[in-house]
Amino acid sequence: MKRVLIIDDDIALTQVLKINLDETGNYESRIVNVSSNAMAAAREFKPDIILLDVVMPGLDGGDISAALKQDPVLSKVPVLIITALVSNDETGENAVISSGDQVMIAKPIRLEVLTKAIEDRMAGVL
Amino acid sequence: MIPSTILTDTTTEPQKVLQILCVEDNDGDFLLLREAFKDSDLDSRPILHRATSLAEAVAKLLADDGKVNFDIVLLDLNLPDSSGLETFARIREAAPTTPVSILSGISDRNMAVSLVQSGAQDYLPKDSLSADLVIRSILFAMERQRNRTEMEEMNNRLQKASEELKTAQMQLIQAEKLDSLGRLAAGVAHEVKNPLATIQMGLDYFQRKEDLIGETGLLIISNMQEAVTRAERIINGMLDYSRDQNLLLKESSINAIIRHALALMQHEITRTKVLVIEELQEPIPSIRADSGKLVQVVINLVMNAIQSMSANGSSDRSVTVRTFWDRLPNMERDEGLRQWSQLRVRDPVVVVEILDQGGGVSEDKLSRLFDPFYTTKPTGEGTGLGLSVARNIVNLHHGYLELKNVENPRGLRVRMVLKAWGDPEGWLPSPESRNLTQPVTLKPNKL
Repeated sequence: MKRVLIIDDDIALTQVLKINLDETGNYESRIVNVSSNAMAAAREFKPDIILLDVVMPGLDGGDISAALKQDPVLSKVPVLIITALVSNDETGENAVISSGDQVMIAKPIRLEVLTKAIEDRMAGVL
Repeated sequence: MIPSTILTDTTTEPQKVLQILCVEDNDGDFLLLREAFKDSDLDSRPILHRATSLAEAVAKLLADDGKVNFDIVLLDLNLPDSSGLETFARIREAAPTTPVSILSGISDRNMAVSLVQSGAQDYLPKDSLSADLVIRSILFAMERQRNRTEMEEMNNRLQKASEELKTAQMQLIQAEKLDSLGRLAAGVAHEVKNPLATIQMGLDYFQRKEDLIGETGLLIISNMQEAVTRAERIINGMLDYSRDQNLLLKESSINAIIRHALALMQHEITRTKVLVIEELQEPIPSIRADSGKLVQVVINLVMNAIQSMSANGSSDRSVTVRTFWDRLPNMERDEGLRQWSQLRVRDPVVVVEILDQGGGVSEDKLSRLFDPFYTTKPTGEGTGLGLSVARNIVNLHHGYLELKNVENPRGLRVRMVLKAWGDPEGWLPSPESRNLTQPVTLKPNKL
């Protein structure tokens, strides 16, 4: 069972996302809707992967990503950036756009596409 | 008596012998005129050329071509091959900038007066010619013509300036429009995609519960799925449209952009004989950019650098165009629209530096250089929009432009800072161990 930390301020989305992921039987996920709690939650939950939104009030995805990189333990946890800022036009068929150490996935996203991206990211393929 | 100082007062060139073309078919009138000049008190007697028909006069004017340079045409309106207004019109056409003074008899006095109102410089009554009158009339006619030419030139310049301003204004409006359209579209797309994501996840959930919801339920879900897909397509279309108008972002090489811009400027570089020195770091992280737009920006910045030096007239003239990557030391934050690509502390950035030796810009002017319509160039050379449009484009890339005076040699340093696409740590040499390519000097081509 892989642990997925979902950091996104959209309560409705995170709830449905969590139910879907958990029901696959492959994941145990936790939600953080208030981004200032994200680092503490991450240290406690010890996720295998982090799904990170970009546009959030207060600390945004960029800030949290920077903070994660500074943390000796969490810097090793793969991050999938889930954002409505990129379009599928940019990401292409698999809804993923990556460069350097960043991997972005475009909202809205089909569950099967997301789970494949999660697996690929954890396997280091993405 | 005409004091000869009038001549020196009214001409900018050294005093020269007046060349007069007299178009007069009547021998008596011509002799009268010649006598008048004999009596004149000028230091050097004017040279009188004669034509006895319109055709001859036109031929002389057209053939003149700078050899004689007639200072004035004294024109009898009634010639064997032409009469009245037609005569004047044809002469004007043949020599638009040469002053014309009408030789008028009593019969055509009214016409002469009306011609003076519509383009002739003066008229001379044949019945009362005197040396004084003729010379004075000629000098005044020449003076009027000079004023008129100057006024026309001034008017042309004014018109050109006004057109430039209009173009500039359009450029500015266009840039602003693109900026706000892009922001609006990105904002709306983002706000709509989030709820769509929730619905999509909900649909994915129910699609797995076939046994629970039955056939009708599945039909409804498949229709809802189609609706979500369609809504997403519309949103993406809107985003793409605004992006088309806005920026076509692609992973690009800043060095390629600079080389492209400099290639387009080769002519200008050759013409101004300014050395352009390229110091481009290789390898360098790529950027996400609209390369066409950034080429525009680079051309603009390099052109400014070149012009600053020609204005300064410095002899040792070179512009250095440098690229390198670094980590951002200070915070840049746009609370209006947060983007992933926005710059943060420690972010890897790609920097373009354009360094001129044009003496720099005084500190009070420096802060105004980005203001639309502000320019330090002479009137007619700059619209004052280049830098403000350039900054708009760079801002759309979530980067920034920075101006700074530098010493040794004194000049202006313009920096364009753009976010590197991906973190180059590990696969590129660190910013500290900068590995510049050998400086390349773009030598002006032989003219």
